[in-house]
Amino acid sequence: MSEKFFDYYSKYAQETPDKVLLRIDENELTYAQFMEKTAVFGSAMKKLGIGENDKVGICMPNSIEWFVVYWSAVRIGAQPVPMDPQSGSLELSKLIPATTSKVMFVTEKYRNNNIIAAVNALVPSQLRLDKVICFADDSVIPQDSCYISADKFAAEYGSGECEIYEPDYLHTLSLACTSGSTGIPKLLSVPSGGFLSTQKEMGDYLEFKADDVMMLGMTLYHQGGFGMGQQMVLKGGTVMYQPQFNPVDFLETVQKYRINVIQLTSTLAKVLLSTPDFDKYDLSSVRICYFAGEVLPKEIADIFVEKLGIRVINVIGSSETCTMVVWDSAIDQGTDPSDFKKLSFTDVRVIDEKHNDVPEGEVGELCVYTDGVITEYFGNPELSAEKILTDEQGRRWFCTGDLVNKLPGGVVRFAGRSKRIIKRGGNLVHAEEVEACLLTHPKIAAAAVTDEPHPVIGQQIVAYIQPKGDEKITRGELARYFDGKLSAYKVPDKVVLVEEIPKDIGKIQFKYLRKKEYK
Amino acid sequence: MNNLNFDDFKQSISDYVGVDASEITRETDVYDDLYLDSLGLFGLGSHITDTYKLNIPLSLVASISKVGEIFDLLNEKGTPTED
Repeated sequence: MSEKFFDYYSKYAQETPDKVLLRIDENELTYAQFMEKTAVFGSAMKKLGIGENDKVGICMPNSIEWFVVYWSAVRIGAQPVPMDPQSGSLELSKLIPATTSKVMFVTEKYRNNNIIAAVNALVPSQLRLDKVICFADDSVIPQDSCYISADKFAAEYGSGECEIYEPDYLHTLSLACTSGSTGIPKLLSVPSGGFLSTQKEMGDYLEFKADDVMMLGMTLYHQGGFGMGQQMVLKGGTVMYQPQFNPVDFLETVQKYRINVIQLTSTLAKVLLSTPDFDKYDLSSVRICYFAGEVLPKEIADIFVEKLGIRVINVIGSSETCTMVVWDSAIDQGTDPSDFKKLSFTDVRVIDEKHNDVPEGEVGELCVYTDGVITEYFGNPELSAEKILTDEQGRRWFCTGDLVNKLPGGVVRFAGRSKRIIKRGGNLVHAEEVEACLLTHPKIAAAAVTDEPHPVIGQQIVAYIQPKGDEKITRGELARYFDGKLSAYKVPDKVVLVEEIPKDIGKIQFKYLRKKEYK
Repeated sequence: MNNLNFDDFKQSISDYVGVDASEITRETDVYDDLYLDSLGLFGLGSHITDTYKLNIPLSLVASISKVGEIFDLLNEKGTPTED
C-alpha cells in the first residue's frame, strides 16, 4: 500500500469541491465532479468485468471525458492506455493487440482523422474488444453490439458508488504508448508510486501553489503533457488544455484567466511570438514558462526571460522517465538552454556503449535515474533489458538515446539523438517506421528517410525515393497513400526522387544520398 | 494589397504539397484535401514566404484552413521579408 493520486484528488474534493480542476475551452470539471464522474465510469467498467491490471484503451483528443475515463480506469486498478487520436487503422491494428486492451473509449473524430471509422475497420472483423464506448452521436456509432454510446454505457452499467483501488508502489498506473522504429509500438509501464513522487517533487521544485492556474500547449494523451499537468493538480491547482492549439485563443485565455504557468514547445512559442499585437496581450500574471519536447533556442528563452520577465524552465524529459534534467533561467541565465543539470530527485550518468562513464569533455549517451522511470516495456523484455538498468541500490536508470557532452560542474549539453529519430515539432518520428510504410507503396523500389532543419518546426521529414522504373511519385500521392494508415504527422514533408538509394552492406549511406537526386 | 495571381499561388502550393494544381481551388482544405497536419501548414507557410519573399504571421496561418484564406492573407497582410 502506498500513497496514491486519489489521496490527493479526494482531499481536494473535500477541501475545495467547487474549484475547477480541469478546464478545456468553456468546459469545466471541478474536484467534486471529478470524484463523482470517476465513480460512475469506474463502476460501469467494473460491472463490465474490467478490473485490476486490465487495459483500457483511450483514443480521444483533449477533453474532460478523456480525463474522466483515464482516472476512472485508475480508480478500479485497471490501466488506462492513452492512444494518439491521430492514429490510423495501420497503427491501431498493431497498438490494440499489443496493449491487450479489453475495451476502448473513442470519439468520432480528431481533426481529419475519423477515429470511429479507423477502429471499425478493425473491430470486430479483425480484432476483438469487449466494448467500444463512443463519445459520439448515435447516428455515427456502428450497429454492431460491441459499440455503445458513452451515455448509454454510464446509464446502464454505472452507479454513484465505486471503491478506490489501493495500488502497490510498483503497480502499473498506465501504459503510455510511443511509436517504435519498426512500427511496433513501445508500451511503457508507468509505476504508480514513482510517477506520483516524481511529479510531486517537480511541482515542489517549481513552487506551484493551490491558487495557480496552468495552461498547457502539449496534449493530455502525451505522457509529458499529462504529467506536467499532474504537477499542478497534486497541489490542488487548476490545469487547462486546448482542444487544438490555437495561438490567439491561447493568449486570450492566458489574459482572461490570469494564468500563472504556461507550458510550450519551441514550435508553439515561435507561433505565439509571431502573433500580431503579441505585445498588447497582458501576460503579467505568468510566472513560469515551462518548455519541453524540443531543443529550445537561446533567442526564444531570452525573449521570455528578458523581455517578458518570465522564469523559463527547459526540461529534457521522456515518457520513460518523467522529468530528467533542467535548465532554469532563475539559476542558469546567461548559459545556453541546452546545458542541463540534474535535479535533487534525479541523477545522471553519461555512458559509452559498454555502459561505462565517459570522461569529462566527451560525448556519450544520457542515462537517467528518477523514481518515475518505467518498470518495463510491456510485452518486450529484450528492449526492457537494453534500456532500463538497475543499480546496486535497486534504482532504475533509463538509457535515453540522447547524446550529451559531459561538461564540468555536472552540466550535460544536449548534442543530438543516437537513433534515427526526427524531432518534428514536439513529435518524435522514427525514420524506419516511415520507410517501412513507403516500401509497401507499389511504385517505390527503395526509400530512405531523414531529417532536414526547418526554421519553424525544428526538423522536417525528407523522403528520398527510388521509384520503380520511370514512375513519378509526389508528396501528395504519398499523403493520400498514408491517409488512414499512419498519423498525418508522419507523412514526409518533402519528397526527393533519386536514381538509387546508396547502400553499403545493407545500410543506407546518407552522406551520398543528396548526390543521387534527379536533376 | 500585393496583387498576387491565384493561379501562380496554386502552382506554388502544388509544388510544396505534391497535389496537382488543377485539383486546388480556393475551397481546398489544407488538412482534408492536401493532407497536411498543423506543423505541415507551418512548413507550407515557410515555403510561401521563401517563394514570394513576403512574411505572414504564423499565428494567423494557424487559425485558417482553406487555400483561398491563405491566399487572401498573403495578398492583404504579407509584408516584404528583409533579405
